[in-house]
Amino acid sequence: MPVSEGYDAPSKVPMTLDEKADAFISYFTERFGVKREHLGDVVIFSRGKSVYVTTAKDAEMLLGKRHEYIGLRAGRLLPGGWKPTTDFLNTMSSRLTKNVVVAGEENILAAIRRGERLVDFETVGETTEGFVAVKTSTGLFLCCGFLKSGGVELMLPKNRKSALVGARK
Amino acid sequence: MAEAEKGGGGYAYFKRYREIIVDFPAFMETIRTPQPRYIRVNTLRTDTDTLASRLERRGFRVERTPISEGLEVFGGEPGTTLEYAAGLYYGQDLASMAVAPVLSPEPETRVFDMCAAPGGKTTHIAQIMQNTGRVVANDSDWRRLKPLVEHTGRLGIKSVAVTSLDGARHWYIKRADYILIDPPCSSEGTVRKNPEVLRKLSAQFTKTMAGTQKRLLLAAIKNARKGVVIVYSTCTFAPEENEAVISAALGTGLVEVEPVETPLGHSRGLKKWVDENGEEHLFGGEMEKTIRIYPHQNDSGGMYIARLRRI
Repeated sequence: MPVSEGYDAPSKVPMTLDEKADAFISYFTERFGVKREHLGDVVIFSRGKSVYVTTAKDAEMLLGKRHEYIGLRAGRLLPGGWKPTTDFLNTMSSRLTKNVVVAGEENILAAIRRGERLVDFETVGETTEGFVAVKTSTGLFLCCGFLKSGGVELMLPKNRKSALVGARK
Repeated sequence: MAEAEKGGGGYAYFKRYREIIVDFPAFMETIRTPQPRYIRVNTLRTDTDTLASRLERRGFRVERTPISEGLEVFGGEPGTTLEYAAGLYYGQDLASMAVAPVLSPEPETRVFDMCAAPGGKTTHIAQIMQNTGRVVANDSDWRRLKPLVEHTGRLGIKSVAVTSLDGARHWYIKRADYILIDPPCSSEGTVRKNPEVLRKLSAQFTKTMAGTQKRLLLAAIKNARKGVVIVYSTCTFAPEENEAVISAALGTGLVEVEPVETPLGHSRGLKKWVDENGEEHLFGGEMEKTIRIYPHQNDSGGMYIARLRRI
C-alpha cells in the first residue's frame, strides 16, 4: 500500500468547524439522544443554511479548494429551527434513543401512496412533537418525519417517495 | 470504405472483433439480449445473505454472483423497495463491480476518481474503504454528478468529495494514493442495457475517445507520486481505447503493469490485433496482465481493466 503523505491521525471525536455546525450538533444529539462521540471521526461544517458531515481526512484542505459537494448533508436551518436530513438520520439510526417512530411496513406504504400522515405507530424512548426518525417494524430506517397532533408527516426525498408508490409489500 | 469506418452498422459493427473474442457466436447472441438486473449490497449497512433474504421475502428471486457483494435479481424492479430507499443496495452491472476490487484501496487512504459520474464505482470504492479516508470524485460535467450526490447520501457515504474540473489538471492527482480512470468511451459493452449506443459506433468515434483517454491517463501518470496504483477501465471492446492506451502509458517509462485478478469469467488483454483494414497493431506481452470481460462470459455488460503502478 502506498504511504499517504501528511497522514491525519484520527481524532475519533467529531470536530465542528463553525458555530452553526456546533448548534446543529447540539440540537441533534439532544433531540435524538445521541452522544457526541458516537458521531465518530468526522468534520462538521456549514455552508449557507445547511450543515454537512464528512470524514476528517483532507476535509479542511478540500474546503479551501473549489468543490461542488463534500460529505453528506446532515441538516438545514428552517425558519422554525433545525431539520435533520433523512440520510444523516439513517447513518445514525442505530444510535437514536428517543424521538423514534416505528410502524408496520403496510401502514407506512399506505401512507406514502395516499400522501397521508402516519397515524398508527409506536414510539421508542421519550417522544415529543417535532422531527422524528421513522423506522419499519422489520428494522429498516425509512426517513425523517414530523410529529404533530398525533400524526407523522413522512419527509422522504421525492424520488424515493415516487419509487415507493409502486413498491411491493 | 470498411463498414466499421462508416459507422451506424448496428450489431454488424462488432464483426471487427470476430478474431479476438473466444466463442464469437455466443458473444453476438448475448449482446442482442436484455441485460439481467444486478445489485451491489451496501456492506456499510448490511450483508449479502441478510439482504438476499429480505428481497426473497418480498417475492424476488435472488441469485449469488462470483462477486461476494453482487446479487442477480429476478421478478421485478429492485429500485422500488423499502430496502432500496433505506440504502441497502445500489443497482450496478456485474462487470462494473469488478473494477473497484482491482483498485482495492486500503481504509484511511486517499483515492482520486477522475471521471466519476454516475458514481457506481465511486460508491463501491467508499464501501471497500469502510467509509474512511477520502475519495475525491470528479467529473467535468457537473450535471452528471447529481445522481452521485443522491446515491452517496442514500448509501450513507461520508468520505466522498465531489469536484467538477478537468480531470487531467486536477490538484488531487498529486495527493492520491490510488487513482481510478474510467474515462468516457464508446460504451460498446453497455449495448445490452442501451442499444442506442449502436448509432454512435464508428472508427472515428473510437479514435476521438482514444485521444481523450490517452490525455487523461498520461496526465495522471505524469503527476502521480511513485508507488501510486492507477486503475484504467472502460466499458468498451475497442483495442484502440484499451490496449493501445495502456501501450502508450507504458511508453512513458513511468508505470508498470500489474496482473489483474477477478472472480468473474474473463479473457486476457490482447498482445496484438489486426483491424478491419488488415493493419496489425502490436501491444506486447504485458497486456496479458490486463483483462477483458465479455457479456457472454458472465451474462453481464463488457469491461476492460488494467492496473498500473507508478514507478
